[in-house]
Amino acid sequence: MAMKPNGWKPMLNLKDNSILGITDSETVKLDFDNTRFKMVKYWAFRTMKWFKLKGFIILKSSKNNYHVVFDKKVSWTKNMHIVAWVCLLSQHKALTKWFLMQCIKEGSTLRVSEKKEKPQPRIVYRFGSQNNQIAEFLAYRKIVKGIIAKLQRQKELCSPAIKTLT
Amino acid sequence: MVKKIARYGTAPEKVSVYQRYWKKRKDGIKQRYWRKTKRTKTVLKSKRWEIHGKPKDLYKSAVLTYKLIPIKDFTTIPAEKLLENPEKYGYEAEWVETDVES
Repeated sequence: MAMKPNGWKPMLNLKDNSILGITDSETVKLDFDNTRFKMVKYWAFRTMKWFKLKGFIILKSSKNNYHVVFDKKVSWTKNMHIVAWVCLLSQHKALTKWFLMQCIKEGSTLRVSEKKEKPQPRIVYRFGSQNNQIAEFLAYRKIVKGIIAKLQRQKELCSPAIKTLT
Repeated sequence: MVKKIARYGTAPEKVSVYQRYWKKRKDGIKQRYWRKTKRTKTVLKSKRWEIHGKPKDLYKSAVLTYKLIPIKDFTTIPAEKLLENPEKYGYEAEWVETDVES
């Protein structure tokens, strides 16, 4: 998919414009955009109970945008079965679009770093077991957060020198 | 499958410019063809790294990809391999700030 550069010029940019996330196929993840917390919680509970997913965490990525990660390890086929079930019953357009994209990639991704003005997703709700896939997800999240912090430190160290050069 | 770290966004890439030309067929119809020229133009494309491996290598490769854009639009690679030979899989450029989906 190519887009017009629209006056793009190479310039010295200290901001990290790319996004860091975690991809895997064995963890059930849901991305609820433009949804109230109450609805996210309802769908997380309903999915967990119907598919016996043991537990979940809800992460708030920005206002009215939430991510859900479930604890039970499943196969990729079962994972997509669950996400498709939620898409069909909730009639959620943004979630359906996200689901289709994950199907194309053959792995589901959730953001960990900042994105434009949106902050890093933070945990707002926990329920049930947290020892399997959630623990693994949080461990990887810690690694990614470490990388972001390291890059941030490097940028802060480099920026005064660059400012004096320009 | 192991978990992978994804770095994704929009990045500039140089692509060949194609020129159109017409050729008259035997049946008299003019058919349009495309010819690859030497000229190149810069376009913005959505690019993605999917890196897996040991945490230490992941750490290094995620820092490396901060200014390394994958040659292919979607690159899945072990961190160890990327650290050994980064110029084989990517080129140095800056990611461009746009709204991308995960």
